[in-house]
Amino acid sequence: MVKKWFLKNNWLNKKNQLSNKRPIIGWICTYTPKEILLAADLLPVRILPRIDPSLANTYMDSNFCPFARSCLGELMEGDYKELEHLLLINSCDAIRRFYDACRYYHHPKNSFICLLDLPRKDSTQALIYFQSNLELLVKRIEEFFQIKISENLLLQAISNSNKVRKLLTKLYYLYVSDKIDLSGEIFLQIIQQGMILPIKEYQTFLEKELKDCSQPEKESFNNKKSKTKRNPKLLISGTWIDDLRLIKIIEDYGGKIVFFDLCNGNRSFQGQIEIPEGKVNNKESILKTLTEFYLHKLPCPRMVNLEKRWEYLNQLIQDYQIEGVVFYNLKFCDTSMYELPILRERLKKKSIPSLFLEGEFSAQISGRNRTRIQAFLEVLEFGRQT
Amino acid sequence: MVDKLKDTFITNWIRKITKNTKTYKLGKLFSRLYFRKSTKSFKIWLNFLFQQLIEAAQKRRLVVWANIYTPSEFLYSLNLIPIYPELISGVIASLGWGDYFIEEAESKLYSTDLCSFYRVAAGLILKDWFPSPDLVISSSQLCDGSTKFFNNISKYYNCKHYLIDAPYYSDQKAETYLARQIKDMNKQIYLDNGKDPDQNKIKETFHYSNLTRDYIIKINQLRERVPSPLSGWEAMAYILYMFFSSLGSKKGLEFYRTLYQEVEEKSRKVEKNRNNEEKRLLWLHQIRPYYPNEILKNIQDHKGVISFEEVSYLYWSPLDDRAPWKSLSRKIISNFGAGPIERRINQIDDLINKYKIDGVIHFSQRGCRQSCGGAFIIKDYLKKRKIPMLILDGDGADSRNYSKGQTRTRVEAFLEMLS
Ligand code: SF4
Ligand code: SF4
Repeated sequence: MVKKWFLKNNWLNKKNQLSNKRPIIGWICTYTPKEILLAADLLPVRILPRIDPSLANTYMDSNFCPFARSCLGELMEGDYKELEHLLLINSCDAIRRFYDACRYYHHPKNSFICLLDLPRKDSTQALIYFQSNLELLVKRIEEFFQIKISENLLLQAISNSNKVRKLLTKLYYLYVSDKIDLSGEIFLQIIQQGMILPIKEYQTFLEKELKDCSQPEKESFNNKKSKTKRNPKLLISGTWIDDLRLIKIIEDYGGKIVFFDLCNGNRSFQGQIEIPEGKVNNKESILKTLTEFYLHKLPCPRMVNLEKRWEYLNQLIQDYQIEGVVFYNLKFCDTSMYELPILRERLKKKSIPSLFLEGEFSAQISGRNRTRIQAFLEVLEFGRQT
Repeated sequence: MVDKLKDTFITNWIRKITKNTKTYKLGKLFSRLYFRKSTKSFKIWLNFLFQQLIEAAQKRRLVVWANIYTPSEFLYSLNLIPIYPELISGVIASLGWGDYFIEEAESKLYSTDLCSFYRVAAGLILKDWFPSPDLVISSSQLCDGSTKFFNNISKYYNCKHYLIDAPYYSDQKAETYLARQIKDMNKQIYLDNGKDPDQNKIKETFHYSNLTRDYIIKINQLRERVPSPLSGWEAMAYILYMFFSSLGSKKGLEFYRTLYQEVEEKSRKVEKNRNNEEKRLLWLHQIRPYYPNEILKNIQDHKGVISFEEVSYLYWSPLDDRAPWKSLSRKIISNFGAGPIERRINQIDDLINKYKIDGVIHFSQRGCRQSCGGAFIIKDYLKKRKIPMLILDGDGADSRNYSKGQTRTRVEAFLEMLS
């Protein structure tokens, strides 16, 4: 089923074909309100950096998040060189400085480069503030692209986005319950493709594939089920996973990842944007809904709500009977690094083993990481037997 | 086994004495004797520091741990005893104990890549060798590390963390968002404390802060003179401690008044000595290395002087007690390190002109993303202005990241190039 998802990385070759002449706008954080971009008839494309971060060494300190540096490398010298428009979020120090570097070094003419401020908490005041930021964003997009973002367009965009979220959730449940022959690595690839494809095409594809899956001959999972039942169930948590081969290695050593608490995992499609029914929806109320959806979604390490994060990780551990947690953090990512000591300590108290792996955007997965994954899974296996 | 018992015994014993008021009273006495020949301002600082520690151990009022970007005026107006872990880490590092606590923090999963000031503080907390806080307040305008670390502190001590979520932009709606948070916090803290808000305390605090502000401005004006009457190296030590922690207090006012007199006197004396012109440097970043090092010597050996350091730049307007929350919001929001890099660049531009700067040193504190992340842009900008800039990699509190030879070579080469 998944072969066709291996799109080539050089998506810009396909730019015109994909965008249907729509302006392409880059984004990089799951807090990006893509629905506004869709309503503006833009093509939101996530920067999926693959470039060696050292290419950005002339623009940024090397003691800096390799994801941000790699994104900058992509803009300066890579596949995304022609990307004109960008909507960034004030996600962290790295992205804040990435935004500065974009404006200073990468400044295509007539470009829309904007940083949307995002509160770190979800209090009433934070909601009011974030909503006013969204209102301003709508205005700025309207002015720059000379368009009108109407209520109907927003509602349509939300509805499309919800459909995709639903389809991915369905696929996820099939994956997690081993009802289809889908590896974690490929599942994440599918998620990532949705970040760069036009929403309608992506939706059609997911619908078709899910329909195919539901045909009896495709559900050859009875054997598989019994085979994978013994695999230790894992939760992987972090920000961005740069090399999906890591998932494969975990799987090769016998682990089954049942939840991807990652920017390119479940975090990107969780939940539905609920538009209150039977109410007259004006722009303000729709933006309010979007505000609430984004600020109330399950927090990532960037938000300052460790208890909420811990509660939901804990819930996942119970719901999925998770036996081990893998933390995958990129080097120099302060937001996740500071959480680590406390989260791991709490897991230890619950007797849930955890493993910490550090990502550096290197071309190869290090031998050290491989060995540690292997050892971790052996420990889990041993724990089960005893 | 015996070793372990011995270790536990020593750890517990240190825990006891570090939480005991008498320890700091003794320290105060001893330091008074030991530093009896130091300047008056230095002695006021010592007194201030030990008084803070005594009060933190006594706990007659609520003790708050705050980050250095939280305006101290807010804390004094709430009648709290403020402790700034970053500043304490600086003091610990200058006593040569930083690495010990860093190792403790690293053994408990604090990565070597994190800001060393927080690693020292984490070690101190994990050892539990310091009087504990009753609440934690932090403001997020400068770095993620501080926001996350202060949240961790509240978990370790099981107390409340009030986060002042500082917006990126400085427009009207951002100001309103901030002001509302501060107002609510003020109310909540009084409520938790079972007391009514004290309007007079705000008045008094703002009054002291504004008077102190005037002295800081005057000192900064004196520092425009050639040769420099106050070295930036000194300004980033105990003076910096007061800059972050004393504004809004009577002691703070006394300190800056005294410092002004000292700088004034010094500037009159050095005036006569004008021939000995040095290469004037601007130091970027709010800190410098605090453990024993030779950087200052390297600079002086090549006739360099740190004429000014960006951290001492006074960026906020006088506080207005008729609109206290707005006023504090403005102070937070107008920090040049927050928001887009242009704000910092404009301020650097201004400092270069004012202080007749020949060269700029950006101290790239290893774990500091917010500052290091913009260093290349600043360097490229200054290149256009024909002002040389050295990006000096180093660490403020972790001496393991200090390479004596390499640092000397880089500083020497830079200063030679300036001549
Ligand atoms: S990985 Fe961490 S530091 Fe890097 S962009 Fe994401 S949140 Fe920021
Ligand atoms: S040195 Fe940098 S990272 Fe450390 S506390 Fe200061 S601003 Fe934050």
